[in-house]
Amino acid sequence: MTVTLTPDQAVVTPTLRSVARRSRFWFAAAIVVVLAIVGYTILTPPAVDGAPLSADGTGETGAKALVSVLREHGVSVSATTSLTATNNAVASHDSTTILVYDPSGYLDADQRARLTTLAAHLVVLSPTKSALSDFAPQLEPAGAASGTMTAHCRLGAALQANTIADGGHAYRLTGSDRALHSCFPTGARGFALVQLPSTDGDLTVVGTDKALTNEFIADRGNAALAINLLGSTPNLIWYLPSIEDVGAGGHTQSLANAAPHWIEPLLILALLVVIAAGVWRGRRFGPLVVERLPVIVRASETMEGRARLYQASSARLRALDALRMGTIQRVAALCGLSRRAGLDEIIGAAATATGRTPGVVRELLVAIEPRTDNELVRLSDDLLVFERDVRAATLPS
Amino acid sequence: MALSGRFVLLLGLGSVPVIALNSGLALIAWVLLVLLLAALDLSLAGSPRAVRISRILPTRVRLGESVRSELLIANVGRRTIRGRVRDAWQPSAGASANRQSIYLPAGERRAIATILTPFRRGERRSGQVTIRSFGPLGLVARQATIDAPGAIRVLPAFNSRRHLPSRLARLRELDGRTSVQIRGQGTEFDSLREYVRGDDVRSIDWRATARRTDPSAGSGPSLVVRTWRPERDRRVVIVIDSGRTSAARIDREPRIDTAFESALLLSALATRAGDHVDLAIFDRRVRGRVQGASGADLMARLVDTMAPIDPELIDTDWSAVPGLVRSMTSQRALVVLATSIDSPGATRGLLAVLPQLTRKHLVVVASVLDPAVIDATLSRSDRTEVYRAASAERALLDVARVSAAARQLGAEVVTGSPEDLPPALADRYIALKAAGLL
Repeated sequence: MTVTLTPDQAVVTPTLRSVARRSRFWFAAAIVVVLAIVGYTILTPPAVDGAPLSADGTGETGAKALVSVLREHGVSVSATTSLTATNNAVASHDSTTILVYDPSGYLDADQRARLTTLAAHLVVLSPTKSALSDFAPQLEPAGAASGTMTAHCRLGAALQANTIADGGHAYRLTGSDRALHSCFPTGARGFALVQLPSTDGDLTVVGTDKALTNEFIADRGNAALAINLLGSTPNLIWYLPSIEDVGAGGHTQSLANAAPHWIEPLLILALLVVIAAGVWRGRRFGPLVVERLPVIVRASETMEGRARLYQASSARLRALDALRMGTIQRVAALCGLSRRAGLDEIIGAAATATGRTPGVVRELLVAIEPRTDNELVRLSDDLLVFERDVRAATLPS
Repeated sequence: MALSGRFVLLLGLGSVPVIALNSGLALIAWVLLVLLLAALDLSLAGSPRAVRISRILPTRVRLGESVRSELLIANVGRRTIRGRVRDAWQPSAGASANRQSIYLPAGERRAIATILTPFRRGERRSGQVTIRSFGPLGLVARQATIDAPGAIRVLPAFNSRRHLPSRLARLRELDGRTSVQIRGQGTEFDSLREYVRGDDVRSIDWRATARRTDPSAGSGPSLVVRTWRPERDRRVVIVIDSGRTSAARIDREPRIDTAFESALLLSALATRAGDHVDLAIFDRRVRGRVQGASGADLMARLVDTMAPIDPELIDTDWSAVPGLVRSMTSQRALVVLATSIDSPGATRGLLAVLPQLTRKHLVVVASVLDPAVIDATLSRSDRTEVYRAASAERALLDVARVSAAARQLGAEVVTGSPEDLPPALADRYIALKAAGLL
């Protein structure tokens, strides 16, 4: 029988308008949240966390506090990030101090050598080992300087600071060379500040880079040391070498310069295509269909489970008994005996039918106990053969 | 809304102007162009909501057969709908093609035909129709899912009906036999006819012969014999166990399906033989019941009742079965219990209520045997298989023990593999009828 159904149809997919209406609250909430975030960022000056010790860094590791105090004192501070810019920023050789802080080791030996010639006063802040051997080969690292240190030298800046805090690195002279000043001694014949003569001025190696940060500048005499050391000349160049210096002396080009202009838009396009492809494949063609599935239990599972139990516990006799009882029942039926026939009766009938002695049949059907699995297999085969013989003898061919 | 692969391809083609013009502006221009085209396409696409859906659907199908389901979609909108349609049939409805293309101009109606070949019994549904309507450029589509429920009832396969002709022939042989072949106490007197050679002389009705004999005629007296026919208007009550044990599968068929097959064959036979068949499917409550139907109506109602019933994973409450049988018939009846007699433990409930049933009725317990178990007893080539054979023998012994117990309580037991059980039960019915035991 075929029927024509005209079901009460209802569109399940919501319209764009109803989606908009239903999600109005969340839209509003999202807008409020975005506005709040924007407002907060505009109203609170951002903590600029550039590189450590950057001149306009207002975070804990920045150095804006020191730089602005120096500017208030009339020192013109210019922050640079490349050697070229530093070179351009040097107005006059003698009245310029350059502070260089290069923890990542962007500069190579040539650039360091050039740097020493740019100005009369060079302050090298916590140089790496290779930088130290380039700038001041007569110095070597002498471990860490820790705790509060006292000047113990005649350098004006150090004397005015008297004590500095918060530690850093220490250096010591290797050979017989003399330093101009060695201040803030540490335990292991090291000094946190060493001033050396250079070709046309002086070179100061300072190990306490942390003392210049916004976080620690106010401790002990940190500020006094920094201001007097860096503010002794009217010009200060705050040079933090960056990636721009890498290979700038040589002829290598950066990856960004090497790539053609279209690579960036092409990547953006690829991203858009991937998103579009995701939408294309991800849009489902209607909801999933639900169907209750039946349980699947095989009826023979209990049989299999019992077989594994027999085998796991080597229940040979029990297994053989089951086989024997099956055989006895079938043999009894083949010999035309009733269900209630006794075992002796069955053995007698089967022995007569197969021409074996009752003793042998009894051995097979009752007496023998298998001691190994091999014996069990052999006995089960014997049972099958016996059953076949009985069948052949009793059934008319 | 949905995008097409064409949209993605078009967007990807933007790489050509981007590389050729070597600028980021080309990218922005291209993306804007694509978006513009997409918006245009979307605005020109026909609305998938403006449709009227109806279905032409057969209400019933026998398991294993195929039917044609038609989905009629009328476009009542202003624009042409071109795109794809999905008629969301359940997986086991066996739909040939779930998704089909459609071209539907405004104001017209089209039929989408699907061939359904269900592979599971019960109610198979299609809840929703999804239409995806592309614009003329084929870039973007509007999509809507519309509730348009349709259902088809998948009836039990009744494969055992192939046994029906031979059993009916044997039933007819019972009819009109003389008492030579069947001399049961319950057979009923049917008619008188002339003696032919071979009839039992004991069935000669001398009184009728005397009445018939015409003394004026010269020829010898023609003898008259009584004939008998099997008793009619007996009651057959079939109780199918839909509990836990009926969920187990034998030969990829749950026991309950075999029970359904057996019940259908028996019912077809019994209703032709003039008996009344009542059916109950029971676990802890009556899941289905057919009473007071006969003939073709009986078969239709039986399959309809059986179709949606799946076994529940609970134990059957046998103690309620005598009351159930009593509610279905007050006369003596042939009560067929289609269940499983696997282990003495699980059949304790059944064995406990058998005496109550056998006191008044003739009870037959029909149970499926697993042919895999019988096969397992014979393969004994290695250690694992011998243990398996032992376990299978043990399972058969359990069945034999339960069968013996049931027989002792006065019930008859019919067992067989899923293919053999329905004809075996039918044969037992014919044998009981021939013996006049009903």
